[in-house]
Amino acid sequence: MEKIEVKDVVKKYGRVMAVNDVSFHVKEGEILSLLGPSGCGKTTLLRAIAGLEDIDDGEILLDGTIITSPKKKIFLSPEKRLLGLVFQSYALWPHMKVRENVSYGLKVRKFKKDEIDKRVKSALETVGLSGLEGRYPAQLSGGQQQRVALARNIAYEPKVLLLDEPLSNLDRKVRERMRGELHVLLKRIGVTAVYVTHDQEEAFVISDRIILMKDGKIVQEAQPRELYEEPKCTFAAEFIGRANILKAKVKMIDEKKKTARLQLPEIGTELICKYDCDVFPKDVSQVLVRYNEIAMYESEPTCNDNVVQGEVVSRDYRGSVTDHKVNVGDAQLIVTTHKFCTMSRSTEKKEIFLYIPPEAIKPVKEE
Amino acid sequence: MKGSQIPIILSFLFLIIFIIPIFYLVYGSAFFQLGGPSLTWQTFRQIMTSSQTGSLLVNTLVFAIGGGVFATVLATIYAWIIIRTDVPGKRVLELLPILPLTMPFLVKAFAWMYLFSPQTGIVNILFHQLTGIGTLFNIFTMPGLIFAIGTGGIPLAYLTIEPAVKSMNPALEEASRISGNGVLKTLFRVTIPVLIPSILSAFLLLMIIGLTNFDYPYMLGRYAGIDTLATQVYYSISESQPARYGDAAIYSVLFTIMSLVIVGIYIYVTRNAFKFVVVTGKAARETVHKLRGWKYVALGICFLIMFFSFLLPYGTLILMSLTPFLSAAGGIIQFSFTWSNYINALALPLFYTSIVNSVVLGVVSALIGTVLAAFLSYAALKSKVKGARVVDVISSIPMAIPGIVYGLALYWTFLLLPVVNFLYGTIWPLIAALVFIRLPYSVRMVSGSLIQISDELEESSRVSGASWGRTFYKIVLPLMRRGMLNSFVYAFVNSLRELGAVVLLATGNSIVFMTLLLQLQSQHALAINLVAAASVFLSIFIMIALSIPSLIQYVSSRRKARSPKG
Amino acid sequence: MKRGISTIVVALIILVIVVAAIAGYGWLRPTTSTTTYTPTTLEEKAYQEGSLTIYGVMDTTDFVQWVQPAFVAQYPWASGMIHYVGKSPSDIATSALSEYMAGHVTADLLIDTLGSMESALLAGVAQNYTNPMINLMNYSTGTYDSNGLWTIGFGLPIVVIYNTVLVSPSQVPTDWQNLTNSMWNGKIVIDSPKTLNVAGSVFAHLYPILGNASWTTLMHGIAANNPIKTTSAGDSFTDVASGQASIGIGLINDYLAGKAQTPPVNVSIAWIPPVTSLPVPCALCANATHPNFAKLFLNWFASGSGQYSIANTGRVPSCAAIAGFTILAGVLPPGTSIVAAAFNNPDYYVNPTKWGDTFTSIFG
Repeated sequence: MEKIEVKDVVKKYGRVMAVNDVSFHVKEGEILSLLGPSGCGKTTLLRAIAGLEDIDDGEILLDGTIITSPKKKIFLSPEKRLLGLVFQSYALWPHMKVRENVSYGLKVRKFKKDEIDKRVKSALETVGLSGLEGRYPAQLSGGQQQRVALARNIAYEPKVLLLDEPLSNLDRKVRERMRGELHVLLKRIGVTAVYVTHDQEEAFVISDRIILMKDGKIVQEAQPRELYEEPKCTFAAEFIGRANILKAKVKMIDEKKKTARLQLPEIGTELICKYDCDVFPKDVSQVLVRYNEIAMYESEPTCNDNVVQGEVVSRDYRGSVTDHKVNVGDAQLIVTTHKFCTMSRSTEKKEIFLYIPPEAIKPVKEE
Repeated sequence: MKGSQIPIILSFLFLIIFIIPIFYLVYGSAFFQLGGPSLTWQTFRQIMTSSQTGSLLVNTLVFAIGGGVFATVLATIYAWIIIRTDVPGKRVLELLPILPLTMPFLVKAFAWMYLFSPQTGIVNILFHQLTGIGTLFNIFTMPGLIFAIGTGGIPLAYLTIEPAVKSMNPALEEASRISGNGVLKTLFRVTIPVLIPSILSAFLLLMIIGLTNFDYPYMLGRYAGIDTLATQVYYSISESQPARYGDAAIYSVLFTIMSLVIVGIYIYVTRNAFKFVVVTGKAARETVHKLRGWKYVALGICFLIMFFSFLLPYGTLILMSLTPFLSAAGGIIQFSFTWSNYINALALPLFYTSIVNSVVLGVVSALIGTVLAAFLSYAALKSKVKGARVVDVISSIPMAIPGIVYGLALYWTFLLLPVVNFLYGTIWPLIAALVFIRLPYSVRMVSGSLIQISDELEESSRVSGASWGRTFYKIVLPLMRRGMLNSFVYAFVNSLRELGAVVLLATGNSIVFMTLLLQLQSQHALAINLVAAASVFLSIFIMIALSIPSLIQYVSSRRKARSPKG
Repeated sequence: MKRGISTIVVALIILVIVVAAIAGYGWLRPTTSTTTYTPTTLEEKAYQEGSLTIYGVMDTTDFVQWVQPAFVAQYPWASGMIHYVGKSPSDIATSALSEYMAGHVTADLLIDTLGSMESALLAGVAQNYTNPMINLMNYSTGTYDSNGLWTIGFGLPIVVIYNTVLVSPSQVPTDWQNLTNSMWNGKIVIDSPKTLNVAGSVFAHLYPILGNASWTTLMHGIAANNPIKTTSAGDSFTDVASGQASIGIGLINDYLAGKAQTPPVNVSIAWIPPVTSLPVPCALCANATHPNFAKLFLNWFASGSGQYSIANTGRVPSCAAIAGFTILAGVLPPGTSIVAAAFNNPDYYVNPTKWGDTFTSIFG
């Protein structure tokens, strides 16, 4: 039995389909991310699971019991679902001290006073905020507030913890630090979690499995590695990591060597790529090449295949890496080089050579 | 029934309770008349075609619009000066605009008469003595009436415009200065256009008050030969022999329609004001314009505004209370000072009783009103039921009904409707009148607090396991405290000052202070000084009441400051 | 959800407690007390009724300060049982009429000017009552209604007043015709005649004396002087006293109050015959819920004790002898008699609408 099951859920706002026939499940103890750009429906889904939104069609089940079903006229009110929800804005009650914020859910559920004190203490310890019980939210920093929001939810041990972009309001450096900590924390507690974010890196660090969404539909459901290496469509490819997308046609397949020869009209040459007939459809029309998987040389490299010549038009020096915009044929590719690559420091050489390894070329559907 | 539906249900109950008296107003006026129904088609036609009605309408509109413009302009200037410039003495200047509220309109009317009556006003007499020319300013004219209600409207206009000025982004004005515009140019080209929505809403609010105002036309208009719809309703009932309820009803209806149009415009203009989240802290006190030498001119302007709005009438009131009846005939004034007015006021047998009555009446009606306002504004802002916003509109309708009309409507309701019949002659009709008349303003004040409570605060409470009721009680209400306290205090203060609604619902067991004053003044020709002394007591009392929210805020911020910062 | 309901329930309980407390404090209409014995005398019956409501034109302060204590001095058990509501003259009549027609009579007795009350009386708001004091104290006709619809109260003598600073002794009017003199243009003040109050009653009194033609000329002549019209005689007096007007029609009570001030107000009386007095009688309400208490009060009000208390308020009691000893001592020029206003003109009381319209057409 899955912890959460979402079946064929539809939600409309007027004529706009916020959620368009979405189905997925969450296993016990799993951290699942709903990833996608704004307006893709991820927050709506999360709120529907929490019981803060109704749905127009479909069903939501928790621990095998239906909690929302418009057809069967079932709607369990949010306070009865035993879930936790960490808001983007933390939603700490400003008129209550940290202690009261954290113990709120326990008091509602009629825990005894000793038990409440114990749990509050333990929750604050878990998030690393022991000793701050007597403060008001206004007296805490953003990161601290976020942790209180977390503590408040874990104190009463919800069945599932829902998190709605909890790190978005923090500074970038704090965010990067927090996401690692959050992952460790969630795993340590062992709670099932559904995490909503628009930040791909964040989703990768925190979750076990990711659901990528766009315009109310699920685009791809996979573990981080698969999502990165094998994005199913252009949108996924560009949303996860950074990729050049090129038109391509299969000219010839070598089944023995497991390679194929592709014609890429935009850059005007042919490239050899790895061919695995299971994943590589014959009628592919697009491939992707990640920015950081292309090698750049001043002079022509020795290997013959997969070398193209290009002209550097601009460079963005970013410190640890450099982005080069390179015109190859009619296309413009972006190549990212590391600090240790000699090309990074070069400012003059305009005419360069690119080597694209066959493994770096992946088919990708239109979309 | 879901707990979250309680506000909506209460709102519609309110609507029903509000409509019933209007129905009875028409019914009672139509049928309970000596010699048969007086609300006939003939009377209707007669009134609608008479030229007197036309001039009544014109007078009412001119009075309301003039007063509105006067107060809005002055309040805007005042607010802008003390918030956006470096005028000295800001702390004091900020507190002053509320002071005029401590004087009831009626009492201020007495003061104006005392000063600016053409023959016997002391200012006019002194002017005549100094210059030999006629009168300086005659209060018994339309300009005089406009002046009276205009200066009286400055507090409310200020309270409406000030938050808008405070939360206006100072960067707008700074950008204008940087591009080379001077202070005044910035004011006219940038500041005022940006503030137009709230200036407009202040104007409309004041216009509504001017439309429904009874006190000034009653006291001052009479000598000017100026009647408005409000006084005409009163005259039809209390000064016609026999009373013409039919006329009163028709005038009331005309009146209400006119006010409803203005209220409708007001609601439309302020429909987004609810989304006006006030920026806290940072941008609030930014002084943008440094005036250098001109700051004393600005200070002078502010002082002048406050002088006419408060210092002059209040000073006059004190003067009146310290002198016996002044006969200023023949252009000579003799002043002699006495404490006897205060002594006599305190010795009035009903002095304490009427104050106690007024206070209890005020407290009970303010309490009921505030609780009702909390539910109504919650329903309007937070309810997920479709069309919940209409509650906001409905709760604003009482604004359009003049106090005197609603008092009359309630009179009929409590006389005729069997369910509430037994309360006729008791204090409850008065409480009902005061609650309903103040409700639109209470709702707005509470909403100002409620809008700052984000939905997520409630949602996180629900998710944590609390029902709607518990959430409302533990999260929403405490956060609304500030707005509710303000609403309570203002409702209380205004019920102490109310005359129109009260004058028709007097009961035997509970004379209230304003009725006492009015009776004294109308029955005893020379009681004006006594009335002045009694009013001074009332105003001190109101001042104390008005300062309570600030005191509470001061105490609680001191308490919070003592806990350590993170 | 249960919590939400319980909050509401608690709030309602508190509200009920508050209501009960207020009721206990006596602000809801008190119920009549019950005793076990059957009362025989009027006083016993009144005591059993336990409450009395009066709608009166006298202001509440004066009533509570002078009249009520005198009554309670005589009947100590009545303390706290009297509910006096001060209202304007027309308000009293219309309240009484509305209540009567709605079948919800609250007032037990009315004290109002006859002009304001008459139409309501004719519509049946009062019941007949012959006050025993009429015979005992030899009241003159004109202080009570022979049909018993209204009975002894007090009077408000009407006088022409003038500002002593603005009006020289030679200018003081001696005749009604003097009021049409153009020197008073804009300087004469009267309470609006169409309200059939002070000015209205005096003018109506002059009608039978002058005859239609002369009377109409007089009225138009006064109207041509653009009189300031006030809502009450008290306001008229204030205007004369302050100098807003030079001359006007007012009540003797205000004049006496003004004289008592230090320094005394510069107003004096122009004695123009006839000197009339606005009758302010009492009436016992039909369907009154406490009729015996009301009768007890009416009897007392007409007695010496009651009439003295009226004099203490600065009003002129109906009992001429008492009036002469108290409030009018040394005020009336010798040989002046006061007659009830418009008693010579019964039409005035029977057809108020007609007179109201007449005045409206002349004075506006």
